[in-house]
Amino acid sequence: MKKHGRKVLTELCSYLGEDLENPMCQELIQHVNECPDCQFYLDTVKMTVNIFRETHPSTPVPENVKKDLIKSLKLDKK
Amino acid sequence: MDTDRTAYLVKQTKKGDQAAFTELVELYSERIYNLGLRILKNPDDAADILQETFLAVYEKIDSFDGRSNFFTWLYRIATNFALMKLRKEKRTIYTDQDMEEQYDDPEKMHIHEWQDLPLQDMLNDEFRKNLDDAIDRLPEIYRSVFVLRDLENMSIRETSHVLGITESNVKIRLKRARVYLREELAHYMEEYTKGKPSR
Repeated sequence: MKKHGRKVLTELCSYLGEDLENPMCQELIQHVNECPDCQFYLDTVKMTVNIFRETHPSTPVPENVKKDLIKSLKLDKK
Repeated sequence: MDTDRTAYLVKQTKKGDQAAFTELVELYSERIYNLGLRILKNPDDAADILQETFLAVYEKIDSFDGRSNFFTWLYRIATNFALMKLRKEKRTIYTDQDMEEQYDDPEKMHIHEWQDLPLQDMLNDEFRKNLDDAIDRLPEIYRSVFVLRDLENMSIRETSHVLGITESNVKIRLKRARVYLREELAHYMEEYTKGKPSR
């Protein structure tokens, strides 16, 4: 990654905590759009989030866990 | 989730309607079970969180005044139980200070190169375990933000309500967690290309 000014790097880091699709910080977005290194870094952070999402899909609650839950809440008794 | 239906079920549960409570449990069980699984990485722990959460909901339902969203209130209870369990077991490796030092100052960061690999070929059990281990090393305050915001798709505002922290704090923690996970993943890919994934 090429050398960036501290201000740009700090803003880029702060931006990473935002919604990654949020059109905030126009000056920074413009910089990122014009800077292949920053664009690439931002893309890889987005990819990271997507990879974690893909590898952690929703799992159905196992039947035995459901049964135990209903029993512990005493919802099996009419 | 149908918020009108949920509001009705909550109202009926407060009146002692067991069928309404059963429907609430059925509606939200999967979300709570997965939240526990994503934070604690263990199916038995996730089952415990599910039980503890709904027992608490049943006991505290009268104190839910409807000013906040039921779902957010429910998530708050479940997240607190999950975080208490994490604290008790002290399972994280990095401290909050480590995270602040390594991921706040861009000049101190060692940015790993990103290897352009065919990820579909890497999505095996070992790769998933590495991702889980990376989350496991995250201190709880970062793990909870990452799980709620990025895996559970909650908004910044909802995440702040669930965790009882400011939106600015959510953003700071989210940034550190995302950057840390990006670096962990890049490091793993680097090792993978050398043919010796080390963690």
